[in-house]
Formats: sequence, C-alpha cells, structure tokens
Amino acid sequence: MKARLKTRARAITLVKLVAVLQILWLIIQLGVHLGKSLPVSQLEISAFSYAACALISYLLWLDKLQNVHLPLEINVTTNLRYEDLERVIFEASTRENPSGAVISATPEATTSAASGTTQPMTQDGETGQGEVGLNFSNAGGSWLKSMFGRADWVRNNLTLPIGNDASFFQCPPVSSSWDGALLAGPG
Amino acid sequence: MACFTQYPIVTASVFICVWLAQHPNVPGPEYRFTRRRLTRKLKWMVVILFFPEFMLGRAFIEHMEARACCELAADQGHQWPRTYAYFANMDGFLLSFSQSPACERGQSAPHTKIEQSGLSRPRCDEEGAYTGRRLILNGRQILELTKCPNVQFSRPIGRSVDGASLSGLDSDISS
Repeated sequence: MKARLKTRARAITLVKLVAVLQILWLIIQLGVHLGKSLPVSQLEISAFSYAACALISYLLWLDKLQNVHLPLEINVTTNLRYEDLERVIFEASTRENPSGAVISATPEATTSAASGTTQPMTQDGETGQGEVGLNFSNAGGSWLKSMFGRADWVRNNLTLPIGNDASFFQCPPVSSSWDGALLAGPG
Repeated sequence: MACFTQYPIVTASVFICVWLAQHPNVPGPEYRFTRRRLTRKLKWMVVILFFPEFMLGRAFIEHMEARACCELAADQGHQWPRTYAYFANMDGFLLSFSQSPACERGQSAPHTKIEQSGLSRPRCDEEGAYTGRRLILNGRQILELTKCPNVQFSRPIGRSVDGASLSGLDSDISS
C-alpha cells in the first residue's frame, strides 16, 4: 500500500517552499529597487507576473494531488445495460439536465426512460454509430493527445458517444455545414 | 553589474514557478515511462511560458468544478473532501466493471481513456457484454453512478456524512 501511495502522490512541499522563498526574494529586490528609485528591468516585472500567476495557482490547486502516476482502481458491479450506463454518464456530463431523466433500474425500462432531454449537440442519425464532435484523442499525434486529449471538458462536451439507438438523445437536426463538418468522425 | 547578478535568480524563478505550478492529470498507460511524463510536463511548461494566464484559468475552472462536485456529493449524502473531487476530475478513479450484461453486439463502448490509444473506438466483445471494461469518469459522472440503485462499488466512493466509512482514496492516503 505504501508503494502505491508513493507512486500516487509524492509530496514536494519542500521544493514548493524553496520556490516561494525565491519568489519572495524577487519581490523584496523589486521593492528595494522601487524604493531607492533604481531602474527595474522588464525581465523582473515579467518574472513577477509569472510568480503571481504561479502563487494564485498554488492556492487554487492546494487540494489537488500533484504528480499522481496511477489511478485508483475501483471495481463496480452493475447490471445496467450499456445504453443506460452511457446515458447516465452522458447526462452527468452536461451541466443542465432539464429532463431529469430517470435512471432505469431494470434493463427492460431502457427505451421508455430516455425522453425529454434536449442536448445542444447534433447526432448521426443515419448510421446510428460513430462519434459526434471533435475527437482530439484520435485526431492527432501524441502531442495533441497529451495537450488536449486529457481535458475533461473536451471529452465530455465535444466527444459524445452514441449507440445504435439514436433516440436516446433527442437532438436538433443537422442544419449547418459546420455541424456537418463535425460529424465527420474517425469511425 | 547588478542586472547581471540578478539575471539567474529572475530566470530561475520563472522556470521553477512554471514547473512547480503544474498539476497534471493522472497520465494514461502510454505515460508509464518517466521520460514521457517529463516530456509532457516540459511541453506544458513551454505553453505556460507563453500563456501564463492559461494555467491560471485552468486552475480556477478546476477549483470551481471541484467545489461544485463537493456540493453535489453533499446533496447526495456523501462527504467529499475537496481532494476527492480534484482526484476524480483529474482522471483518478478508474472504474472496472466486473460484471454486466449485455449491450448489443458490435455496439461501440463509451469513450474511455484507457482504451483510446488505438485509432478506432473500443467495441463490445463477441458476447455483447462489456465485462472487464474500464472507464475513467469524472466526479459528476461518478456521483451520478452512485445514485443508480443497481450499481455497486467495491469500496465506498466517498465518506458517509458521519465519516464512518472511508473511501479507497482515504485509506490509501492515510496508510
């Protein structure tokens, strides 16, 4: 367990402390320069702005674990059908859920439960398969993948997995060429 | 002369700030080598050097999302510390579906990070089940799953309000 912990979160508080001290030293130097009416270089001002950004980010990310290498695996047992699982996951991804669609407890209740949800995405109604939206993770090389493929927002809002039964998502029809371009998925 | 002596301190401050302020998400299996993880951080460092406000905005968005997840969890009767929400939103929880019946044959499975290394999306196996599928979900999705009556987690995903049960993350951190 300790080994897992080490791989999951390594505390680098000391290094952060050193960084904060160095930033403080920079701020003191800037203050002395200004106090004695000495010239302040542009590099120092830009460094100060970087330091301010970093400090605010430290504060905002105070509770976020850093340098986590492995996810925590949790076994889940469910008898939900695939469509139900997909719908649950999808509806949780959207902030606004006006329908409040009921999660069906039994596999038989699948088709009747999904109704009333209006999503701002388009759908591939003809084939019933494929992806709607931009899929950065499959679109580019490893650089793009590492930059954008990990973002939750991209995954949840621009990549919408839909199955054979497209009626799960009652979406507006494709109306513009921009939407049509989005439909050109990898599948 | 004064400028010359300050130059290393100033530049070092910038680079150390940018390097340490990064809080990358949990890497996928393709980043199991340390060299690749370092390369990823280096790429992000270059981006942040050019757009420092990008990191700030991302930190703010993640902070607000974590707060929202904590409130959602509280509504459902869980006690999620902020670390849980961050951990879930940074792809920290890998849900392994050990048993599930049937989806239709050939139907595409949900978009997963673990299996997205290939060019095509994963599909259900021949039996039509997705047993053994592993999904990485964010906090909202996990909380939504906990509301399902027929989804059982092998370990508590959050603390109950009285704090009696610990989640897996709690036990891992405290051990």
